[in-house]
Amino acid sequence: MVYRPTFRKQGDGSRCAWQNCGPASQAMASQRFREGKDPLNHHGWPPMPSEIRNAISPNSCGGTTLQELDAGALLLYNTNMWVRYGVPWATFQSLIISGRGAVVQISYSVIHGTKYDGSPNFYGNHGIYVNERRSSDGAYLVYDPLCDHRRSYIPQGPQWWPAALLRRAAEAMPGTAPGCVNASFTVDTE
Amino acid sequence: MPVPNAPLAEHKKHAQDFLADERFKDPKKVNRPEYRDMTDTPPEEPPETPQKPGKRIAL
Repeated sequence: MVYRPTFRKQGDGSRCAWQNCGPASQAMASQRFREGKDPLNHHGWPPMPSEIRNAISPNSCGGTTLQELDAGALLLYNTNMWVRYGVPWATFQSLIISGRGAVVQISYSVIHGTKYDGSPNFYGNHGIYVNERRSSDGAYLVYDPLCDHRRSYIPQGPQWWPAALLRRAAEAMPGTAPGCVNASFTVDTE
Repeated sequence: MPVPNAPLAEHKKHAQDFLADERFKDPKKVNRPEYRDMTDTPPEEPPETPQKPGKRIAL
């Protein structure tokens, strides 16, 4: 069975919490990357969104890039992600099936109004963590850092998203090449 | 590209070949000019509307 990291929500009360979708997604990806094993360096373990945020921007908040997340996680947890842009959907599928997790950029406008929606009024660019694909129906296990059940209608923790929904959300990230995904991938753990 | 139910070895080979391709490391080479490698901030959420109690039915 594929290793499943601990779900990390972005609304954890830490600094920049509501801008920490990237750090939260990266925290989960780093835990998967190392399959839960502490690198035994002088940084904390398990990976936490606040620690990654502090490594990226100790004195400011704001959105994060895939490159920034990779650099922060490499420093803290020795997890060197494969950051790739314009990944064709079929290749993304292969990367997940072959045993990698991924931090994926999406447009939340596509998720809004679905049963996977983690915010009542967010339509912007968002970061999520994708752990695995289920072969029976092709669904993807998505860890959306907004899904913390802080409201009765918001889901809690990882959810199986239909492949078509994940694909549409990833392709809708403004400026993304048609039929492609922007993401960073963990090592192959399988 | 391998179909989803292709043997795992095919997916692994395709994944390795793709990751070795340098062209996909630069967002400007593969995305449209308006692409911005940056997440956004969710706006402050309105308060949750309390559920209205349903009508009581006299039994």
